[in-house]
Amino acid sequence: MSQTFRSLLSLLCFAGWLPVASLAEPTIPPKQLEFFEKKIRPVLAEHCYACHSAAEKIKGGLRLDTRDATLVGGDTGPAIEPGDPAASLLVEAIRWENEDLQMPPKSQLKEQEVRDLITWIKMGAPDPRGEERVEGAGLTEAESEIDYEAGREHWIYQPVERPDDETDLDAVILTRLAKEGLSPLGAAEPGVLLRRLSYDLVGLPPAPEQAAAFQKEIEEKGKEQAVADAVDRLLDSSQFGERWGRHWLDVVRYAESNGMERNYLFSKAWRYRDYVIDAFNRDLPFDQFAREQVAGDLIGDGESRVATGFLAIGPKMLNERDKEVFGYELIDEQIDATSRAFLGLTVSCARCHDHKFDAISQSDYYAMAGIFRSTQTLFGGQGGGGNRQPSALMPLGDNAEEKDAALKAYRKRVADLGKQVKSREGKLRNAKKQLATLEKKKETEKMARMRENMDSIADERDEFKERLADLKDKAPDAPEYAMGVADRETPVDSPFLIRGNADTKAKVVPRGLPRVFEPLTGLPEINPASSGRRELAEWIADDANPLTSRVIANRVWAHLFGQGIVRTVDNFGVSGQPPANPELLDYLAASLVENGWSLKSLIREIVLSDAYQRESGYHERNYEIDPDNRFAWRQDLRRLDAEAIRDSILAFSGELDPSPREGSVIDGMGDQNFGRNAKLLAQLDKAVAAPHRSVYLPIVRNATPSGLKVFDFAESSLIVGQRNETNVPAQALYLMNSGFVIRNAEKIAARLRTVPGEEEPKEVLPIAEAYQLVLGRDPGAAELRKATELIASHEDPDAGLVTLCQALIASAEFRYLN
Amino acid sequence: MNFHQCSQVIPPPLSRRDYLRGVSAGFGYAAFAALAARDAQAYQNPLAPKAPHFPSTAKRVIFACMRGGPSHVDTFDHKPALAKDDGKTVKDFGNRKLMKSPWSFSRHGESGLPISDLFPHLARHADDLCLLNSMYADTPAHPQAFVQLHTGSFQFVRPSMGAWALYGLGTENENLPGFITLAPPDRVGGAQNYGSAFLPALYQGTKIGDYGQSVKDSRIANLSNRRLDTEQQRAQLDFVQEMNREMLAQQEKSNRVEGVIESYELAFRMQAEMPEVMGLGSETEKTKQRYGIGSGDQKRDSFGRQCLMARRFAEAGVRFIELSHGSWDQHGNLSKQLSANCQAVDQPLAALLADLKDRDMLKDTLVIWGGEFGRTPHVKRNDGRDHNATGFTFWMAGGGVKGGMRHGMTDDHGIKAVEGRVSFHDFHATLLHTLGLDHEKLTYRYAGRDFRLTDVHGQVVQEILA
Repeated sequence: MSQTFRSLLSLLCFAGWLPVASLAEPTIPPKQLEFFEKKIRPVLAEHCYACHSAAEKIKGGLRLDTRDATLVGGDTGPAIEPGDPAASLLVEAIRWENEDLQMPPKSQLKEQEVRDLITWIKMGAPDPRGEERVEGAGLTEAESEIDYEAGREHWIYQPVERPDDETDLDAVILTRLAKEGLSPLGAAEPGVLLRRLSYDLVGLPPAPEQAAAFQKEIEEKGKEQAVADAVDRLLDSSQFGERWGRHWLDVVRYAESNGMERNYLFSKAWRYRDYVIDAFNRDLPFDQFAREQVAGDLIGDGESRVATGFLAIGPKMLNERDKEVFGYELIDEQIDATSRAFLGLTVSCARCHDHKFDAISQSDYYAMAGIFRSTQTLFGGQGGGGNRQPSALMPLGDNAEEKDAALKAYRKRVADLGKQVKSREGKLRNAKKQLATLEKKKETEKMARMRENMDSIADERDEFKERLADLKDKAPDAPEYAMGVADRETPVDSPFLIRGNADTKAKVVPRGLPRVFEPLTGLPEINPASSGRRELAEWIADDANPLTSRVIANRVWAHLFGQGIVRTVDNFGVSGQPPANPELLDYLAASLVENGWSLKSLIREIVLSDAYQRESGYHERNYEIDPDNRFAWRQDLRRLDAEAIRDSILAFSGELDPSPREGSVIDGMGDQNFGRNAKLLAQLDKAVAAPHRSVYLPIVRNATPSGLKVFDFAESSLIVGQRNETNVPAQALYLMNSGFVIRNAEKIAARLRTVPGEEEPKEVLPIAEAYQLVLGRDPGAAELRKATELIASHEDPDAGLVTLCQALIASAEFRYLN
Repeated sequence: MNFHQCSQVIPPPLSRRDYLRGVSAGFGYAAFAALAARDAQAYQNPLAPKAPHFPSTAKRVIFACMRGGPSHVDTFDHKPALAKDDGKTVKDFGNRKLMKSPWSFSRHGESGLPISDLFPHLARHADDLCLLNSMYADTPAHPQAFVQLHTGSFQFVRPSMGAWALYGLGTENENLPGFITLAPPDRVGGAQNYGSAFLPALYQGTKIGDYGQSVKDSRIANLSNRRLDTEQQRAQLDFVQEMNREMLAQQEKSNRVEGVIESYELAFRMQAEMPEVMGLGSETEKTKQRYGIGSGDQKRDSFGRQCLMARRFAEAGVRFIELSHGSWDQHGNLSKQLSANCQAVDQPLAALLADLKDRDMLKDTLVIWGGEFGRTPHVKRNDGRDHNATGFTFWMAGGGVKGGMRHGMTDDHGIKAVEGRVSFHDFHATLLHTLGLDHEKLTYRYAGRDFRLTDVHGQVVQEILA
């Protein structure tokens, strides 16, 4: 589709009778108009609209009731190529030359009608239709009432300013604490700190041996050095990317299926997941990370184009009939994801009207929409079964395009031959029937001729069959595939849609970026020959863009302190919350950029600060002044997230397989609708039961693994910079009763009782070891007594130990980081 | 591995011991309650009952959701002209022929409400029914219309109406979830239809049972323990809760830890109360019979169980209960299938209304019946009707809604709602209104703006309010 679409557009531009890609408002010479009204419109209305119009049906995704829709075309591409009847699918269809494409399907058009349509296309397909769908013709876009000057006063549009007189992070925080009359709490104990660091950086608890080694290192080289070494070790571990990559996957609504009402699987989404994990592990500078996700296919040699999966994995209305409506919904989702993930701006609020709060006009929205309208989204899927909007995937690897083309050609040949065989078989069946009739009438001469004819048809059939058999084992090598995007060959601006409705188009808006940024960042000229995604990516990644660095620095802070400096981590607009400590936010943002956008450096700087390492206790006076700890006078008590809980339990029982999972089980399921297919559900359950780290579990929208979902795993259809934090009884029930927890508690108990190399279990019940393993500390004397009592309430002490191990897992102390 | 070698003995924090000793021995619910009361100021249970915006007429909602689009002209929208014009063609609809209803309508109750003979049991409650004959939806496609019915939007993932109700009012029974959905379909939007989207997860519906299967054998996940009896589990829980309280004492003012403590107690109580409320064992055979349970009609038995369970949940203080039945998508075989559907739901629904009335609960329980759209009055094949989103019927009963009335109307043949039109947004606004909630004030801030169930639409259908 894209190829023809591109050439169509280039042709339009070249011919000069349409402004670039506007598809709007050509003036038609009166004679041509008369020809259309007399010869063309009646034919289309009588023979085509019943199956190809908004008012009736939209078969094959094709509408022929407006000019735009006709040019955009359906599932197989544009219906017409103005000026080129030979390249126009419509002509192919009405000529009935291709057995698979014969329109109208029941009876061919008259000779004259076919000739008229060809003549019309030769003329350039002049077509006055289009406004008919516009309610109240003559609508124009509302005048924007945005006051950009006033809008720019919002704090986010001020350049990032590193506080001059502060030397380091702690100085910035202490200054503010002093100003507020708050006194910082002391440092957390080493055991507490190590547990905190370990969960925060790699999402797993420190093993008891590590905890012991850490204590020893403190004695040997002093706390500061020991902590710094531990931090480096954790940052260098490949589990760092698994932890922090998952944070980013929350933001980008990562999932391996479409969700919505047609839950088609995204079999290749995992490639994007792995890209993200790898990017964090190799500390890909964040500016480059952003650039690659928006335009990885356009920078360098396109090696990072897997990153553009970011734009392809959102939920889509796959059963939407109208391609145009589908297109605008997709664009909206992409604008929303891009603007909120990187900029903390809700640009998509300006789709139907000017933004209610921020200085983003509806025109700004459609300027950005043009960028994505000029982009082809490759999310895969096969048509049918309610999926009316399938798309291609992005081929990867050496000679990917050629391999992909060869494979497609091969598949088409196989399908064509199959059809030929079938059609001959059909003909033979008919002939047989006719033969029987002839036999009744005893028309021997005709029978002989019929038999002859049948022989030759059978020969043909056999030949096709043979050719098909020959092809069978000759499938060319398939390339690898991923989800992503590509530029359309010729860019196409978006019209301004009145009230966001594709039926009410106003003027075309040239591609561009939100004007509110102009004085601050300058706005790049968009190359007329490309989509503008590259310019968008560069602009997002620009050191001078004050939002990109602030937004990601704030996200990092939020993961390490439990709340953002700006609490509304995905919304920095006027309707979001202002930063609690603007100097701190700017300090972090500036520091990030100065260190080459290295996230590991930023994380290291934060976790090595006194602020991060403070204890999580209570302080009456502080609490009165700042109960929410907005100024970081302590470390907050923070909940372990769903993955940390699951992965820890598996680590305790010794079941965790820390190696990365290759690919995804979803990949093996194909592109089908997930629905309630029992076989797929069983496959999914099996995959979820595997002992890999949670980040590798299959994430099917509406079928999130229950052990993750219950602990507020990110809703994978939404952009979730900050997860919900709930305490529903379902969580308690899960920890009290679920098979997963009980099974692992049994394994933990068995593991603790085993003495390596010996057959007999330990003499003494390993209560202290259980505390060490699960909580990273020894029990106190009273706890020891209580634990012993709990065990003693069972007849079998082994069973009692299981109950104890499970109780420790269920405790708030395990579920929270203090 | 020798664990003691690698253990650093950190002295346990004894400073709070004295305080704890007072409550530690044989710690049970009473002590917990005392503690909970002590800290009640610091921790607000988000599910605790909240005051409505204005006095409510309904305390709870039971929504009987008929998936597939029940035919209105054969059930609750009497169209005499349709019978008269049977066989005539309709313009604008592919010149299809009108088909009169295979069933006749009779007038019932003092109000004389016309109800199809398909509903002999419900007809006896005619004076309690408020027929909304002028419903319309935005699209005649199942998934979209179904999701829009539940969330107000088919384009975006939005919280379901049950989640909004729970968010607005909290729940009256701490031992049970506040929003329960029985055997919901997993297609047509699936969990979205009872999801909380951006609202906190605790407002989402608790699903019990699977679509198309009897709720007879349904269980809530993880509601029982395979290795501990109640006493052992209570001992384990006491141990956990003591640890938790100790942590709370160290932290002070931590609603997080308090939330954990509370959720364990609710979970523990749910284990006892949930199976009890869900189980129908304590109901008499006579009651069960009234609901059609054990009638030999499997479908009626199944829906009867849903209705009876709904009454029990309602009595127990659950805020929003949704029932599911389907499919009502009769493109063909209408005369047989629609009749079977009605036989399955008629008696149980009537029993539910009667039971609620007996308990004086109908006055503050809003009962709703309807599906994602209705069906065309013209014929599809010989014995079927197509989707019709332009006009169809819901009914409501109880909860401060007038009985024995018809609101709005479709045209002569039942094609389009022409008078007193009610959109799903209007329906949502009205539902919230009976609960004492102003749909324009019930907002949640997300992604920089205040969201509502009704988005920027919705008008309360004042005419039906008693």
